[in-house]
Amino acid sequence: MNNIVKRFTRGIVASAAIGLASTSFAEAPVERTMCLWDPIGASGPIYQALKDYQVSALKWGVKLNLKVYTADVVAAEDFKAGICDMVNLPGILARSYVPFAGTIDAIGAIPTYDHLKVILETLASPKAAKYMSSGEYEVVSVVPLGAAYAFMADRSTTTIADLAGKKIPVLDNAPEIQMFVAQAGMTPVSATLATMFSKFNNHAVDLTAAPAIAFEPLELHKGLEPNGGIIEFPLIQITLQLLSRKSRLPEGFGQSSREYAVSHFDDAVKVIKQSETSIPKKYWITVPEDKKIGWTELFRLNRIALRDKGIYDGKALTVFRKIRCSKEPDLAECTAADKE
Amino acid sequence: MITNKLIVNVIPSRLLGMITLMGTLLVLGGCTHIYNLTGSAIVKYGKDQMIPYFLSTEDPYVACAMGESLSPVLLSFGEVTDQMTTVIALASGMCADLQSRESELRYLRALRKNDPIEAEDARIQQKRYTALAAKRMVEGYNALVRVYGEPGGKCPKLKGFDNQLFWMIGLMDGMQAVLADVSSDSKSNIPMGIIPKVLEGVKCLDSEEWWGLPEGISSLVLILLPTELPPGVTDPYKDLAHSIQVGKNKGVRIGQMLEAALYENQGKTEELKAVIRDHVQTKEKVPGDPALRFLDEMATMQIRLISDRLWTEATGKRTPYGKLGTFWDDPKTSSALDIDDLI
Repeated sequence: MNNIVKRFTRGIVASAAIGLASTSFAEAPVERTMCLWDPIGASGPIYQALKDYQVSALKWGVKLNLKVYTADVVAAEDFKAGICDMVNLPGILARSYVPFAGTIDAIGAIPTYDHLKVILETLASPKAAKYMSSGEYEVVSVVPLGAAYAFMADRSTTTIADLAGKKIPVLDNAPEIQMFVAQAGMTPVSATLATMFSKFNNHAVDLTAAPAIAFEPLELHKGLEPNGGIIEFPLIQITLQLLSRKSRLPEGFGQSSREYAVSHFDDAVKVIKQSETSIPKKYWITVPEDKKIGWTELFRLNRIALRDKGIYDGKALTVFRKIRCSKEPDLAECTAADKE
Repeated sequence: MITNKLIVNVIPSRLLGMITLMGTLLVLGGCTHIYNLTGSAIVKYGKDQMIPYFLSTEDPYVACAMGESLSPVLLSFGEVTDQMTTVIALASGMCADLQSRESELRYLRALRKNDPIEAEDARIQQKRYTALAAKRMVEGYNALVRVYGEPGGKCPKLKGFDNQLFWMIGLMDGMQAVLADVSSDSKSNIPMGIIPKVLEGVKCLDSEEWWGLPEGISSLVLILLPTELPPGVTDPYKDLAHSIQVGKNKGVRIGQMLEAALYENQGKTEELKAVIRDHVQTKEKVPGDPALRFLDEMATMQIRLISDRLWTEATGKRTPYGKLGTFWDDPKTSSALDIDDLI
């Protein structure tokens, strides 16, 4: 009889324990708001991808309410004002919050998607977490949006010397392009994201920077005709960075989120490469190695100057240089006296 | 039997082979000819009977079922039925889109219940259906290109109502296919370049004659694309409003569907609610054009789906039966008086 009572009691305790465990698993998540920027809106690719992220966030204990914005600057302002706890921004705009992660978009810093994969996997490791925060802010994911290439109205423009006097649209929030213009002696033409591509298509400027994904919807072939081309190596790796106000999220959220983002890297790059290969081959310009050196050196000096101005993070530049040199040890920059 | 043996013996085997081959080719060629004739007859029947019926039906779900069931038959005839393919692709794509919308409601309910597994499963299903819608609708656009050439250059000769209708619907197929592909991780790799081509293509139609739809599509694209406005366009919002008015007056309110989609896309909930209310009120005042009832009902169905999403997000359930145009947070009106004043 005693045994029966004991077994019965044990059963109740076990059930209670299971009940407690379930209660703890089903603990209500905290509700937070994300200012979600997608230039197209809720039917755009960024919004759609972040709906999947919303599901994962729920697994990490956060119920995200998505508030859509079509202007990145407005989304950033609302995030700063505390209207939302998270925001996704292009790397250039995210730079002022967490400079280390914001330096990923530095000019010429990441020459291929293989380099980018190594960098993002490294930054998503728990040991790198300390570099992903600055003050009250944390970068909880970095997603590639594709490399920005130089679209030239005249395909014979392949060296830095050829750029002198050429007209280029310049955005007021891209210091690397402003410096690049000054270094190469180009003529800046003030522009916004909405006007820079139409200026190129109307031949009001001689070149512009754009990711391959913009080629078809913005009909950039119009600006390339009759004799234009696209320089085959990237100017900048454009990234989308997800920022949070650290104190508003549960412990460990940022790490889970970065690991989630990097696990989708290959899928993102596949879509990017699809848009790059859909550009007709005739438009791509292969720059001979000897001429390419002029570009890479100019980019390097640009980065060093912006580091000295406090715009780029020096440690991040060193990490990127070491990764470039581990892949290509013969690069001139690997032995330069003023290496990053 | 004897005769066959005789023939085989008399006619040299090589010649017999030639005759057999020619006979086979003749039969096969004849079949192709018959199939082409049948395909042409189907197109004629489609233009004379099916399309008018299709456009006058007030049941968009029947149109969707028709699209799915007729696809294998029509598409099997190949290019000869291309004109009809534009319409069939829109209808069958709409079926897949409806399924995808149901999955989205399941996803929203799962989020409300803090159930990530159910939510993830619903998202997977939603993307599968959206990708299917993209694949079906791009077939309609490709058929348009085969019949009339790629939009964007010189306008083709669009003689009569049928040709203009196929052109209009083929363009809608293209635009919807791109949007659906974007929503399903671009897995179908549908060229984004279709969008500017659609923008050019709608200029080949008289917007006033086509219930404001060409102007509506072009305004919507200009609002959504982050690019400079083309010459002659100063305010796409104003143009969109004009196109909606044209549709309202003619009892074909697809423009309101575009407007609702725009505000849903921009996350402007109050404006979206106003469009839904206006749609319901307008339908009560101006009856739909009987010959084009399908298009008007399709607009209502899409607006109801958007309303369902709003309701589900806020309450966990879709728009209550017969209550389209109302919302969970509408102020309660009551004619009750203070009982003390009456005693």
